[in-house]
Amino acid sequence: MKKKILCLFLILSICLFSLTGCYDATGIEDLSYAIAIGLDKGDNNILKLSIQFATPSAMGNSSESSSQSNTTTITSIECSSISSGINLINGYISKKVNLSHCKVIVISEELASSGISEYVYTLMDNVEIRPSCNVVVTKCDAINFLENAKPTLEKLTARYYEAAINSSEYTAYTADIQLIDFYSALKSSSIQPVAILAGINTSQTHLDSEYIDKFNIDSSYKAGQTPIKDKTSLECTGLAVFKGDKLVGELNGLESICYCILSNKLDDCMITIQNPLSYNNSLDIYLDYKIRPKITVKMVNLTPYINVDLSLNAYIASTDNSSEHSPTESLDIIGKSTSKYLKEQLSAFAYKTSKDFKCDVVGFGKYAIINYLTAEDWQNSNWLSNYENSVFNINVNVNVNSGELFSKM
Amino acid sequence: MDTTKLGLFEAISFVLIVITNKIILNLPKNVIVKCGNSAWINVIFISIIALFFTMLIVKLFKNFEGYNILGISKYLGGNIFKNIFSCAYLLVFILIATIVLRDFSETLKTIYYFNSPLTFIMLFFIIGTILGNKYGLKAIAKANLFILPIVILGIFVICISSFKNFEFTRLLPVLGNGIDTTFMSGITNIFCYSGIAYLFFIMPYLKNSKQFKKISIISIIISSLYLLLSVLCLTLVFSYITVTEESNSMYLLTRTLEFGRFFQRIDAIFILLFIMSCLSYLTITLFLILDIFKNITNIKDSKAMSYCFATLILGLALLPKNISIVRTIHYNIFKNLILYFVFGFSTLVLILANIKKKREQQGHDSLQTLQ
Amino acid sequence: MNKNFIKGISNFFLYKPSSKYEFTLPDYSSDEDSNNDNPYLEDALDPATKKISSSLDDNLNYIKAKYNSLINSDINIREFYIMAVDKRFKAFLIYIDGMADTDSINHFILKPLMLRNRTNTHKKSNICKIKINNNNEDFNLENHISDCLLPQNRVSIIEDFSKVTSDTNMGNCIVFIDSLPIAYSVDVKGFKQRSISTPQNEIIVRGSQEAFVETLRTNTSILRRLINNEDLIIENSVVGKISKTNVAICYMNSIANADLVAEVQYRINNLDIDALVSSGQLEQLIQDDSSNLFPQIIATERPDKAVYSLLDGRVIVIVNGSPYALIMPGVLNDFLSSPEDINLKYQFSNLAKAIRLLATFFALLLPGFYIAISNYHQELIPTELLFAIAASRESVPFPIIFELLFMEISFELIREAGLRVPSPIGQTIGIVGALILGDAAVKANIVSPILIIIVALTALCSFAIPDLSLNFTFRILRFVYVFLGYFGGFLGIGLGIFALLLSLSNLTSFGAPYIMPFLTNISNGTTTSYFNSPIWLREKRPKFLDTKKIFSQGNISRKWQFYKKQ
Repeated sequence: MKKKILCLFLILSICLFSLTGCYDATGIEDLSYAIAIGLDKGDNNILKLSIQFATPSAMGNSSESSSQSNTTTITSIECSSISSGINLINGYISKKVNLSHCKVIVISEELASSGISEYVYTLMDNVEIRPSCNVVVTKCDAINFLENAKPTLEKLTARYYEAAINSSEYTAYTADIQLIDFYSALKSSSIQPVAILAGINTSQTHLDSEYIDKFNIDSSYKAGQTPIKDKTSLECTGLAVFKGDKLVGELNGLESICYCILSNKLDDCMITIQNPLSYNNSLDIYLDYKIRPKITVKMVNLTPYINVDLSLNAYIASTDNSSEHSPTESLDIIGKSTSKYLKEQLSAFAYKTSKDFKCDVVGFGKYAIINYLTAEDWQNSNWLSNYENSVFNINVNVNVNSGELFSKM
Repeated sequence: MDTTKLGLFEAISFVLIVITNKIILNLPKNVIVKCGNSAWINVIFISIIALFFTMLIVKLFKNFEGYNILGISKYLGGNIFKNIFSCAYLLVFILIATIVLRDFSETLKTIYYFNSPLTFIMLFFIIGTILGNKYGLKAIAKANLFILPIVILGIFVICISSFKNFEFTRLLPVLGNGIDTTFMSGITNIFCYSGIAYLFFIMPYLKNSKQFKKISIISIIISSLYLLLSVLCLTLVFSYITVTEESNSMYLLTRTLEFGRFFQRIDAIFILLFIMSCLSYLTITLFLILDIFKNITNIKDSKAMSYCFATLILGLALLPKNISIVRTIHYNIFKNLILYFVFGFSTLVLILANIKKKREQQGHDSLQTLQ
Repeated sequence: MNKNFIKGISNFFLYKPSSKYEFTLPDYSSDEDSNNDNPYLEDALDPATKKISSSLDDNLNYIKAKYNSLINSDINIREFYIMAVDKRFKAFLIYIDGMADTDSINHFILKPLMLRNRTNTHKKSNICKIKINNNNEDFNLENHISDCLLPQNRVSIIEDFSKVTSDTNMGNCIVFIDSLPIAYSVDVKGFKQRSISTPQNEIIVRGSQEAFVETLRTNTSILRRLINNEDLIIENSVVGKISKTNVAICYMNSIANADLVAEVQYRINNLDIDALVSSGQLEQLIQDDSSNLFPQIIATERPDKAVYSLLDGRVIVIVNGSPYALIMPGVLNDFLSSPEDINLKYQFSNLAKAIRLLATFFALLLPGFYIAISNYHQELIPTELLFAIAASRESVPFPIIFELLFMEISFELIREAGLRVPSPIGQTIGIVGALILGDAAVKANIVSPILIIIVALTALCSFAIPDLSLNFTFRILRFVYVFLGYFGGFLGIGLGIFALLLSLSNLTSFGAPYIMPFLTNISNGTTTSYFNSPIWLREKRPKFLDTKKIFSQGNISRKWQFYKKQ
């Protein structure tokens, strides 16, 4: 009899446990997955939040050849903060919003100029957001950016976002800035944050004003300025420079390459210089690191003296004429010419960040800490405000290897 | 009557599970908050001190082979002193179990179980603990021996895999918040080695008491290595760790792990390891509580009391209103308790007992020479 | 017509006592007040210790009553006269038709005893003279008949009826002689049996293709043949009051731990049951912890596996009538290793073992993990895979837990049904059931395709486990993990794994710990780890067996490598 009561009790407790438990069990199909978040300045309210959802029905079937716009849906709402916006969206959307597969956070230029620290903190605090999602500042509205995300070479928009930003690995026209990098730089006292610069490329946004360098047109575009013919598409070129949490400037393609070189993020890039052997032509060169940049910072009377030494490998990509010099001499000449060119460009970039933007985006401050012994001294030195007085000395050594298949034309 | 004895590896795992749980529960963060970027220097410093301390304890235990610290306190001051001492240790262990249970359950609730009530999450741990204690020391020690290497490997993988986020300039400025916090007041960080409290109790359970020295030294060395590793990795990866208040730094570290584009956000697997480690730790703590209780009350088998003590721990864990109270208790009250009671008072008891024994031996020798 | 119509209606509406054939057995009801003690022990002992009397008629009547020879069709009683010391004595013999070899009875019992020949016509006085000359003792008719007149290789003299009955049941022929208070038990066993065939369920590629059969003597003969050493001891024991089944306990005297052997003997000799039919029953009766799901005794039908365990220091128990031998102690490593592992190079067997370990994890945990991840930890799944799963689940009306349970239960049904389907359609039912049913279920949007993959993979992995009992264990535990995963996500599964580790750590099989935390050899020479070391490094016997001889190989077992050719 006792055993029967015990068994009954056990069975009852298991049933009760099972009926009242599993509070948090939400099936996969009960959630709607956001793949991109857009933040704009609101017309009536503080913030306009746009979220791009993946619609699973179109993504699963490989036989359907639906139009591209069916794979995602975008919803937009005016709200006072991100969390309240998501709450409002949850109210009218049929499934619960889930941010764990969000690939990119798009912030419009207008909003970025007025300060985004609150939004970055909210997103970093969120359990669902991946710290590796990219932070993008757009020159147009965020919602337009999301609407124009139409992948042509792949099916999923999520993969399109990943791939588009991954191109920085081999062009260095932008950098892979993740949310955690942005947040780190925001909180840090030795570096200022940057974000990826993006925009919609239409014929109206093409660059038509005078450009500085005749021989380096191709690198001087920012997002939206690349002359793509007859198409409206997204473009991620250049970087957006922040002072604290406010947007203060933009970097074009070549300046982004300089940024990547100096901050040790370069994988592979290509620049065009004036051919020293035949002055009317240009020369394309691939660059990657031979010796990573050695940065030393000396504080002399509160003025930072920044010295950078780096060495690069160069591969000649194209040349159009054969020269009269022997191969060794040609390579030597090209090497010297490239070094001189890079030194000029890197110094120009460094002084631009120092004098124009007054933002240490590269992070020279990290190397300046070594002059101080305790954290208190470092805080007192106020590096970020002191950066504008910096003096740079950049030494570049380029080691030229010849071209890919032909060593001499 | 359970007559199982612990072998070498089992005893080492007994002590090591303490430090792995502390690492999981945000201990490195507190070291870093106090000392700044020089936390790793501080950790090396306190590790050396802890090692000397351990060697001192081993030497003091040499005269009392087979006794745990309660037996030594009985030798020193009789039954009354032993009972008071045991009650104090009982309170210490109950406090440890309560804090660990509440802290980890709150972390889990924040991350995954947002809608579940706290009791529901804690019940899983309590059921596991009761089950372990129903089976006895043999099952606990062996299960721990299985779980510990996997958890240690997991922590190692977490720390090493975040290599691509390392920036060595984050270790500067070298002295962090100053020499004072790194070396002088930083000594109080030795409370990280609360595993020494467990060392006091394992002596009667060892197969071979001569291995006590080996066990203590190996476990303290591995503990310090892991503490150093976790502190270093956290400092190198997060530049903002000295200025923010995250609830669980190891979890943040697991969130940044990436293997290619395919394996991202694999923190759930590591959470599974952390859960098993916490279960093992709570079971061992409850076992020691029952052991002390058996010592006080002289009952033959204290397995039946596991329900009572487990319910007590569950009730106490539900008392604090929110997590900040728990953290305050952990890093203020508990820290001082460990420092003064475990490191200070217990060592004093050991020293006094040794002096008493030496005096008795001298008296005994002089008596023999007289005869 | 009208009459029939009225009869039909009245049959329909009116009462008719039922004429169905009913047969019920009355329940033996247990009242609350009644004594709950098992009265089994107080059964009156069968008075079979009755001694054989000198009077032949008494013996004959007793035997006829005991064996119900008027009703029993195969008990044969042959009365005849024997010739001994030149005198005639009345006698009878009893044997069971089909168990005794009738040719042997004719040639070696009836012929030399019935017909006059030189030996049985020697007069008593002559025999005495020979005996006195050879300094023998006095003439004894009983010994004379068995020593000189029965030319059969195994004859024993028995004195009480219990031995008579047990020997007759074994297949011997019992001879009773008038005026002698004894009987002769002559071994003329000759019953039909299955010849040694290939193993049905443990098939390996390289290795002997012999299997145990039902007869105890044939099985022990196989063991003797393979071990080829006089240290092998095969003890006999009898289990079961009614069936009196012969059970053989085999071990190597110079290797096996004496305490282990004593424990096995103790357990087998202290069983209070009526009948023992198979080794499976014996396994359940003598295992350490019957409430634990994991098997603790290995059952094998391969003699080479049995021989290998014997030489390791384990004890084998063979039950008469069952082709499965029991090996004890059995630890978890043994249930996960196949007999093929000894025959292959260590790299190949380690690969197979690694795959089996992976299969174990999948068979136990894969559905649980799937439920936990898809309900609680969705960020673990890569984005593209997640969208594929979400898309396929869009049209399914059931929650994941229901789908999973539905598919698992139907798979178990297919497995059970496949065992019993008659063989012409046996193979096809499995394929029809699994493939078409699964495919149709997906098309009808009852289950999602990803779930079919999960369930199929789990089933495949469970078939990769070599042992049948362990298979059942994992089938049960899998459901537990599915429920735990659904209730608490990874928290539930963590608790489940912890509880499993605890119960396995507590389990011992005949004194040997069930799980050991060694994947590879830590100290050289031991063979307690999961993965194999090269064969020349396996110098010591398993540590947990505590054998008398520890080393099974010399320090350098391949001497040919180190001797210089001259």
